[in-house]
Amino acid sequence: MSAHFARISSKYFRNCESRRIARAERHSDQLQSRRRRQFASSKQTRDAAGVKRDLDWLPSLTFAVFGAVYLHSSLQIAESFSGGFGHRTVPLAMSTLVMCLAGWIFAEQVLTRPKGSPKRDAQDIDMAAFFTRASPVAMLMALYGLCHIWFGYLAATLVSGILAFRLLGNPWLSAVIHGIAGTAILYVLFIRFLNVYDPPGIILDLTALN
Amino acid sequence: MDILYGFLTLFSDPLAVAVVVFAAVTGVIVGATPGLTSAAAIAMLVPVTFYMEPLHALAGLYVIGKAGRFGGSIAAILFNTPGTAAAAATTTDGNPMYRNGMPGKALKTAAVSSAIGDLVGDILLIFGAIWIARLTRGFGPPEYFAVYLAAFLVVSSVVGPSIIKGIISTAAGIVAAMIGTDPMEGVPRLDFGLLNFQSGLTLVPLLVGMFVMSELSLQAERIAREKGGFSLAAKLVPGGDRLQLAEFKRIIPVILRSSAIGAIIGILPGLGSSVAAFTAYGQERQRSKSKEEWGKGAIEGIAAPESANNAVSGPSMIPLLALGIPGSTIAAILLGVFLIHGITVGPRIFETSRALVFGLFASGLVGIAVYFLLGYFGGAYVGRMISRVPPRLIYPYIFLTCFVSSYAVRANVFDVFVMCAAGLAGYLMRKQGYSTAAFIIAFVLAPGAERTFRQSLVLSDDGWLIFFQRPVALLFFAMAILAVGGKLSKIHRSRKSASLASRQRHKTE
Repeated sequence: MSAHFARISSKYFRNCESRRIARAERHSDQLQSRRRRQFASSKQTRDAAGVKRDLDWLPSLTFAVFGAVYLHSSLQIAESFSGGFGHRTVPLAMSTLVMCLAGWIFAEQVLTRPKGSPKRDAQDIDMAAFFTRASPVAMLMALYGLCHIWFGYLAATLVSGILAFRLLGNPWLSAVIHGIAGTAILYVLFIRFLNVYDPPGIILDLTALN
Repeated sequence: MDILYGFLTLFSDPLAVAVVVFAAVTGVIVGATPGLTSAAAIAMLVPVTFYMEPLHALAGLYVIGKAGRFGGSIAAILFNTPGTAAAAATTTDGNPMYRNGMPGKALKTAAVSSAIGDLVGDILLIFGAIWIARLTRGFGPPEYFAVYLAAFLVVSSVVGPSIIKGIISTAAGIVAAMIGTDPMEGVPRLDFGLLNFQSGLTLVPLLVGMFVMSELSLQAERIAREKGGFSLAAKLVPGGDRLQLAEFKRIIPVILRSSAIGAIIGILPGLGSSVAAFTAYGQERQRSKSKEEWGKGAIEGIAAPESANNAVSGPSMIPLLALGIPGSTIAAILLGVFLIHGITVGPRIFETSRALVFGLFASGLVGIAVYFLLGYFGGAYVGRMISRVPPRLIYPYIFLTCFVSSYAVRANVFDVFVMCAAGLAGYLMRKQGYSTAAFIIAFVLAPGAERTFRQSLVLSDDGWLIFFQRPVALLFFAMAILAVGGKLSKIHRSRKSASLASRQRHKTE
C-alpha cells in the first residue's frame, strides 16, 4: 500500500515537475517572443524615423580631416615670388572653408543633437552593413592594385573579375567563366585595340633580371 | 545653314554615323539598366575615346548622354526603378500606366516626348550658343572669374537640400583640383612629396569612382535589401500598346511647355535634368483640370517629365561652348574630351572648329532620331532583355570596366587607387546628402577659376575693385547672390512651415 502510495506520489510530483518545467518553458517562450515583438516594433519605429544612423557623422568627419590635412599642406607651400595672391591663396582658403564647415556639421551631428532624434535624415549609414558590404569591396580594390603591381594587368584583371562575380553571389563555375570572358573582352579592347601599356608586374618581369 | 554644313560633315564620314547609331543604342540600354546612368557610362568610355577622331569621340559621348536620358524612362516605366535620376518623376505615372496594362502606350509616350523635348533643346543650342558666344567675345579675366564664381555658388546652392553641404562638396572639388603643379608659376603644391601627386589628379578615375563605384555600392545595397532583380508582369489591355492620335494631340501642348521649362533650366549650371523633370511635372499637374488622375497613370504625367528632362541636354552645352564653362556633369566630361583632343573651348570655337561643332550638333539630331525609333518600336524589347539579365551578372562587368578604364587613362595603377578612394568618398557623400556632381563640376572648373582670379589681380595690381568695376561681372555676381538668396529663403520658408505644423500638432494633442 505504502509502495503504491509512494509510486503515485512520485508520479504526481514528476507530473507537477514536468508541468512546472513546461509552464516555465512556455513562459520563457512567451517572454522571448514578446521581447522579439518589442524589438521588432522598436526597430521598425527606429527605421521609420531614420534613427539607426551609426555612421552618419563619418562623411563630415572625413571632410573635416581632409580639410585639416590640406590646410596643413597649404601652409607648407612657399610664398609666391611675386607676392600678393599667389599659388597658396586658393588652396589655403578652400581647405580652411572645407575644414570649418565640415567641422561645424560634425559638431552639430555629434554634440548638439540627442542620439535617436527622429529629426535626422532617412539615408542612414548602418555600421554593420557598411563594414560587411564595403570591406570585401575595399579588399577587392586593394587586391586589384597589388596584383597589378606584382603580376601585371592581365592577372590582376582576371583574379579581380572572378572574385567580383563570386562576391555578388554567382557560383564558382559561372564566376570563372564570366571572369575569363570579361578579362578577354577588356584585354582585346584596351591592350590590343587601344594599345594601353600592359605591365608585366614586378614578380613576372623577367627583363629586370638581365 | 551652318547645321546643313554639320550634316554634310557627319554624313561624309560613314564611321561617324556608325558611332552615332551605336552610341544611341548603347545609351538607351545603359539608361534602361537600373544603377547605370549615362554619366557613368560616359565616364567609363572616356579612355576609349582618347584614341578616336575628335568628332567620333565627342558625338559618341554626347549621343550616349541624350539616349541615356530617354533610356531611364524604360526602367522607370517597366521596373518602377528610374534608370537615371532624371527619370524619377516618370515613375509616378509611368509605372501605374504599365500596371494598368498599357506598357506600349507609356513607352511610346516617353519616346515621343523625349524626342520632341530633345529637339527643342537642340534648336535652342544651335541658335543660342552662337548668339551667346558673340556676346562673350569681349570677356576678360574679371568677367570670366565672375562667371566661374557664379557657377560655383549656383551649383553649391541648388544641388541638394543643404547649402553648406553643397559648399563643402564644391570646395573639396576645388582643393582636389589644386593638387599637383601650379599652372601659373610651375610650383608643386599639395603633393605630400609624392611623385604621383605631382602631375595632379585626373578626371576619369574621380568620375568613375564618384559616379559608377558609388552607384554600384548603393545598388548592391538595394539588391541585398530587396532580395531580387527586376520582374515584368502586367496583363495587357486591348489597345494598350498604341498611342492614339487624339492622345498625341492632347499631350503636344504639355510637351512644348515642359520642353521650354527644361531648356531654360538646362542653360543654368548645376540644376540638371532631374530638377527640370520634377518642375515640369509639378507645373503641369497644377495646370491640369483632372488632378485626381495624376499618379494613377496619366499620360500627361509621362509627357511632362520626359520632355523636360531631355530638353536639358542641348542647352546644358551652351555655357560649355559659349564660355568654356560646363554646366553639367556630362558637359564637364565633354570639356575634358575637347581638351584631350587639343581643342580650346570658348567663344572662338565656332570659328576655329566650325566643322566639329556643327558636326556635333548634327550628330545630336541624328542620335535623337535613332533613339526615338528604337524607343518607339523596341522599348519593350529592351526592357524585357534587361529584365532577363540578373544584376549579379551585370554589376561585376561594370566593376571590372571601372578598374580597367581608370588604369587606361595614364597606364598608371595609382589612378586605380584614386578611383577606389573616390568610390568610397562618393558612397559616403551620397549617403549623407553631399553632392558628387558639385565636387566634379568644381574639380573641372577650379583651374580656370584660379587662373582668371589671379590674372585679374595681376591686371589690377592686387586691387579687388576690378571685380566690381565691370558691369558684366557685377551681373554674374548678382545672379549668384540671387541663387543663394533664393535657396536660403526657400529653406527658411520650409522651416517656418514645419515649425508651424508642429506647433499646431502640439495644440491639438
